[in-house]
Parts: sequence; C-alpha cells; structure tokens
Amino acid sequence: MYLERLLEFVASLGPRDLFFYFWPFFLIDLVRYTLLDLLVLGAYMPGRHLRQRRIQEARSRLFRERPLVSVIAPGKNEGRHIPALADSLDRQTYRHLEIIIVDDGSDDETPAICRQLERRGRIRRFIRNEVRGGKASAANTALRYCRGRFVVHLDADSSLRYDSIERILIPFYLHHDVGAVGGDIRVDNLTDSMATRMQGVEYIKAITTGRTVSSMLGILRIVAGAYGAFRRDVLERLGGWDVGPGLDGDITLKIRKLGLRIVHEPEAVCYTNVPDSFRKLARQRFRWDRSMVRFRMRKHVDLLKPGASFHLRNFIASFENIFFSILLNIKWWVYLAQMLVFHPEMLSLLLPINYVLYFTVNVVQFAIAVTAFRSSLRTRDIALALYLPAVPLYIGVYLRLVRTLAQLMELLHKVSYRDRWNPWKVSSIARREGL
Amino acid sequence: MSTTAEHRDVPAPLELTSRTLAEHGGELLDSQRAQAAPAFVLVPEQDSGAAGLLQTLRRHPDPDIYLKPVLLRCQQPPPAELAQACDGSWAGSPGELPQGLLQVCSGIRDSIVGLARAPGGDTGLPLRLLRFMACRGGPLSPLPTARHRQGHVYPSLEPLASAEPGAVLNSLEVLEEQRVIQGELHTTAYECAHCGCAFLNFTENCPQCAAVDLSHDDLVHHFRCGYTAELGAFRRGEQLVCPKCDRALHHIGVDYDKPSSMFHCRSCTHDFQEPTIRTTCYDCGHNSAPENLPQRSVKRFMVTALGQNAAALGLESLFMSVMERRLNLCPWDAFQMFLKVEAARIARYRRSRSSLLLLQLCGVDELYVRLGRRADDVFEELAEAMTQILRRSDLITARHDALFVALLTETDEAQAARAAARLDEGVGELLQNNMGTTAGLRVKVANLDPEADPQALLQALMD
Repeated sequence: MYLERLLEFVASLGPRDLFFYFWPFFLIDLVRYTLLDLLVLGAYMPGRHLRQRRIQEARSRLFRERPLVSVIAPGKNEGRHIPALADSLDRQTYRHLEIIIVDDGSDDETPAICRQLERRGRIRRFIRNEVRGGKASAANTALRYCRGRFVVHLDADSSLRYDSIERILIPFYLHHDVGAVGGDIRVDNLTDSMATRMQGVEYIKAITTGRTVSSMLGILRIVAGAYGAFRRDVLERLGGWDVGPGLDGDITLKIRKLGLRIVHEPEAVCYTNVPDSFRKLARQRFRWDRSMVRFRMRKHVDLLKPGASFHLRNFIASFENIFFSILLNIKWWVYLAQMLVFHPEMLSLLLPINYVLYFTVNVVQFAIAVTAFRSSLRTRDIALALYLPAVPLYIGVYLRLVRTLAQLMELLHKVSYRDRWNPWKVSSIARREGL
Repeated sequence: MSTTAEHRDVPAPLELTSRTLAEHGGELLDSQRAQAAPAFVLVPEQDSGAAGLLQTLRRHPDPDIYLKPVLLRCQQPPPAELAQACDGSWAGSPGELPQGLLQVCSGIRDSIVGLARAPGGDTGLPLRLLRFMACRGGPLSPLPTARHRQGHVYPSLEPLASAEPGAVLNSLEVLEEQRVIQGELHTTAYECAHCGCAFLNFTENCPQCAAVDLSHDDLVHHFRCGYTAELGAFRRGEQLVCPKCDRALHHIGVDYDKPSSMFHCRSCTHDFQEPTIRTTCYDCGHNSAPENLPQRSVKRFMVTALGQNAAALGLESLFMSVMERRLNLCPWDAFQMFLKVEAARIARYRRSRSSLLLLQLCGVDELYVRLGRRADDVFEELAEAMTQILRRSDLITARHDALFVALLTETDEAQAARAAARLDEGVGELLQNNMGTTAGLRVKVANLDPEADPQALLQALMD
C-alpha cells in the first residue's frame, strides 16, 4: 500500500513539483557535487593522460635535483606509531629525506622510543619539548630545524604508499608558483567499525574526488595536516603555523593570500587511522566545524572583502566553502521546516524520495571516483560500495546534526577557544586577542 | 734535643726536630726516653721538615714509636694536612700541655701497652693501619682533597704508608675483607678506568663531530602566534620581541614558555638536544664515557671487635689463611717427622726417590698494598697454581708467610725440576700479570738423599 502510494506520488510529480519538493537536491547538491564533479573529472582524466609527458619531465627534474625533503611529525604520545612511520618512509621511492619528530610534552614512552630511533639513524632528529605547547608550536619547532627545500607535514599515525613522497613533490616541478600540495588521505582502519567505513566513503568523495575538483578549479582551500607538502621558504615567510585548531586550513589560506597555488595530488596517497566510533567522530567533527567558522568567517574574512589584495580565486575558495558548508547547511533546516509546516503529511513520502535521490548521486559519485582513481584505490576501498546505502543517513543526518551544532556553538559562544586540543594557556591568549 | 716540663707522675712528651733526628739517627728513637715518652711533639714553626719527621715516626716498625701520639706545638694555626695527621695541637709553652691532650695521650698509650710484639716489629701495612686505628678508637673519616689523585685521604693514616699510590686505600680494603674493620658509606667517587685518578674533566661534546665548541640556548614558544625559536631570535635590545608578530614577550608562563633547549655545534653546525658527555683524566689523559667509569665507595671505617682482637694479637695473614685452606698445609713439626720417615723408607728399600720443592715468595705485604681487595683473588689463583703441581701423595708445609716446602714422593730430581719449572712459570705469570714483576719469587728443588740428615737438607734448601 505504502509503496503504491509512493510510486503514484512519484509518477504525479511534474518539473515544478520536483523543484518545489526537492529544490535543495536539484538546485544545489546535484549541481555542485555531482554534475560539476562529472564535468571537471571528465576533463581531468584525459588531461592527466595528456600531461603524462610533463609529469615525467617534472619527475626527472625532481630526481635530478634531488632536493632534501624534511618530513616532520609533531605530536604528543605518538611514540608507538613512529617506528611504523619510519618504516613507511624507508620504503619510499624518493629517499632524500630527513625525518624530524617533535614531542609536544609526551608523558609516555615517546622520548625513549624516539631517542633510540635517532641513535639508530632511523630518524634524523628528535626534539623533545618538556612543556606542551600545542600542535602549532611543535610544528614550528620542527620547522626551525628543517634543512630541506620542501617540508612534508605528517600525522605520526600515518603510513604512506611507496611512491607517495615522490608524487606529492611533482606538482612543485609542474608549476613554478605552487606553494603547497595536499596529499590524498585515505582511511587505513576501514574495517574497524561502521563509523570507519562511512568515513572511508566520505574521504573518497570529499577528498579524493572533491579536492581534486577544487584543485583543478583553483579554489582548493585546505592542505590536510595529516599529509601535506610545503615549500620551506613559504612557511618561513609566514612564520610557520598559527595557533589552531584548524591550523591546516589556516595556513593554506595564508599561502593563497601570497598569490601561490594550492594543489591536490590524488596519487600521493596517505593512509591514516580515523575515529572508530560515532562518538569519537563527533568530537573530531565538532572541532573541525568550529574551526571553519573561526578561521574562515573571522580570521580570514578579508578574503571576501574588496581591497588591494583582493583575488577572485581566493574569494571564490573562501566564499564557496562558507556558502556550502555553513549557509546551505541552514537551508536543510529551512527545507525541513518548510515541509513540516506546509506539507507535514508528505514527509513520509518526501523523505524516502530524498533518500533515493541522494543514494543515487552517492552511487554516481562513487563510480566517478573509482573510475578516475582506480589505479590508487585498494580493493577494500572499492568494496565500500556495499555501504553506500547508509551514506545518505551518515552525511545527511549525522554529520549535518554535528556540523549545525558546532557552527551554532562557535557563532554564538566561540567555544573553540575552550577546546583542550590546545593547552589552556595558548587558548586563553588566543581568546583574549580574538585570534 | 729539648725536653718538655714533666708532669709529676708522667714522663714529659719528647719534643723532636728533624735536625735532632738527623743528628742522632735511630739511637734517639730507640732510647728509653723515646720509648717512655707519652707523646712526641713537633714544632712546625721552627722545623720546616716536620711533615717528613712525622712520616719517619709513623713508618718506624716499633709499635711503641709509630703508634705513639704525635702532637704539634705552635702559636699559629698549623698547616691543615699536618694538623689532621697528628693527634692534637696546642699553642703554649712546652710545659703547658693541656689536660685534654694528656688524657688522649694516656688513652693511646694504654692501648699500645697491651699489643703483642713480633720480632722485627710490625712491617705489614695492613697490621700497622689496624693497630693505629684501634689505638685511636672512633670512626676514621675520609677527607676530600685536591692534593691527592684519589680525591679522598685518611690524613692520620697517610704518614704510615709509603708513597705507593693507593697503598692506604688498598690496605683498608683488605682489612674490610677480613672484617677487622667495618666500612660505612661516606660518599661515592668516580675514577679513571685507566689509572684510578679521581680528577676527571667532564666535557659536553657534539654527537656528530665530538667538538667541544658548543653554544646552548633555550627554545621559546610564543603563545600568541605559535612561533618557536631560540631565545636569541627573540632578543631585541633589552626586550624579547616575537620576530613573527612583533609583540613583546613579558612574562614566562603567561605569554611565552621555554619548552626545551638546544645545543649548537660551532664546528659542524649540528643542532641537538643531548650532547655526548666525555670524561678526560687529568692525570693520564684517558678518555671514556661517564657510564664506563668505575665508581668507588668512599667509606668511614670503624674497628670491629674482631679487629680489636686482631690488633692486639696480630693479624692472621690472609695469604696464609687461603694457603691453609686450599693446600691443606701440614704443620711444620709434622712435616719434619714425615721427612724422616720418608728418608728412612728410601734408605731401607732403595727402590724409589723423592724430592723436596721450595717456593719462596718475598714481599707478600706488597701484594696487599698493590692489589687491595683483589689480593684475595690473586692468592686463590696462587694456591690453585700450587695445587696443580701437587698430588695427593705429596705433603706441603709453610715455614712462614712466604716460604713453602713440599715433599714430592716417588719423584726424582729431574721430575721435580720439571714440576718446579711449571710452578715457577705459573706463579711467575700470575705475579707478572698482577704486579708487573716476578721479583721476590724463588723456586728450588733438591733430591731427598737418604744418607743425609733430613733436617740439614731442609735447612740447606731454605738457605
């Protein structure tokens, strides 16, 4: 009975009804996240094939010059991951590396583990900060002692594909004005739980596909802290990282303001461990979504203002992120309110249809990603297709709730300054100075 | 020679100078006057050789001399080392010895009276030290000093010993091993692994090039902007200013921190947090890592009850105790009897030959002084070397500490000579490895002639 009614309703929908009932999907999500991806990747794939010669030339130049690359991994209590990280870097095709680990006030075995690795020559330098200063401070400490022309910032619990360092450096040799290159973050602990599987799908959509598209459009606004490469002279010119959270997005915008290009390299693959429960995931996303408000709407609001330093691409990068992540997030609540107020009786029909629509585009997006990036995806990445039916609920309901709450709390109460991700003494200064 | 004013019932202390001792020599110390005096008195203000004179007194073999209290009479404070080595001092005229000092001298004299005397006096350093400590009573504490290479001395004991480095410490170790003194930890000291010197130069070195030209600076983390660099990068005149955000830094812990520090090598420009620590001995120049340095316990010593007895009656030689246990020594009288029986047996049956083997080891005391606590191990090895030569049918005795005679039954002179050669080689190698010399070692063999008098034969062998 219900199914019949549903099918009848679908059959009765005309173009006007479709727009009225499903305008968020057709007007925004389908256009921005599916059609645009199709168009851009449609240009990306043959373009990459055509660019192979240039890529090869860039690679040859890279290996001919063989610049020193400083790989830095600042963190607290990450000692147990460092041996595996050192192994991963040992297996890289690009070998001219110096590994610098900074211990941000660890209270476990990290110093002992890392000193031993240093003595054995597995890492070049281990710096222990007795007093915790936060991620930015630890990263800046590492930057102070880097000798490489390029700096690769990694999370300590990451592992890289064998050619990842080489891949992330090549864009610097393809274009003279690249300031930073983002690596492709994939989920390592895919099979731990439903939460990790959902994140696996999300990363493929949002990072592998989404950031490649943004990069091609010249509006990429973030180089992930988990894996990104920077020109050392650019970092030094900026004085390193600023206090976070969201310091990866923050430094990316600062590099954009210098007029330099930000590139995403989907073939520079990095595997990382993600939260394995929805509770832990919520805490992570609270932090990320709050930082988006703090940095993009407050600290870097100048990107939106006309002025001497105005740059169209920077404006679009910032505006697009604010518009889609914050303003259009509100649209869903408006849409829900609209349906509840004006057509409450239709909700039982509208919601399943919305689900089917979003599920369909998820399938299309996933297929696009697998097609475009097949060479770097593992079998178990592709096997995530089995979990696509849950993705609309994950992204459309769970993440949306978390994001809405985070953004409201940050807009109204600036709660990011109380985040224990930074030491309180650092956060209190940042709050006092409105940083 | 001057005399002090005498107390009514007690002879007066004998005032000595190095000049009078030089003029009168041993006669002065052997005289009744010297023997009866309750103390010797030195006057360092009038005698520049007082320290040497003290050594002469303390190295005399006669307990009545070397154990006698030595006092200083001086108006000015005496030299510190001399004062610590003596039993007291006063700043008055010769006849005005304070009552307290008189009592000290009296107590020491009473202790000396009860001591057993050996012919020739006390020659071994361990016994001399023990008797000295027993007569003085009280704990013997070490004194840190820069004048001696081992860093700590026992001032009152130093004059008793020769100039051999570490003689006193090694002898005290032997005494502690034998439980006649008890040590209590006073402090510890690192010493050179090569020569035992306590004076070590600790340097911080670059882990990369071992250079010592290092600079050291704190790292500063500015809370506001996260910028981290050496303190020097923040200095702008008298103030600290962040190079990144141009803000002044005011209070540590409020707007900045110093999370760690860094060393910089000016030779190879390497930056690091943990320099390599090396030690260099001031005496021999030997380099080593601190973790490889031997650590010596510096102790306070007290004479035990066993030690009091040993001081009074004589210290049983550690060497002899090891030999007796390992070699199953036969008493001298019994050995002589067995010798007669063996000679008679050979004379009657005329079918076999036996030999005598002599092992003489001079300077056993030197072993204590040179080896200290290790002397025990060396003695065990010596005994082992001798047991390798001897068979169950052989008999061995000790005439004294350093003289051993063995009866090798059914062994002709050639065989005995071979055994002697092996013994000579084994013991010689042991002495060479531990002492650097084989001087003082004598091995001899003689055929047990049944026609000769066994006693005369034995005596001829020992002579």
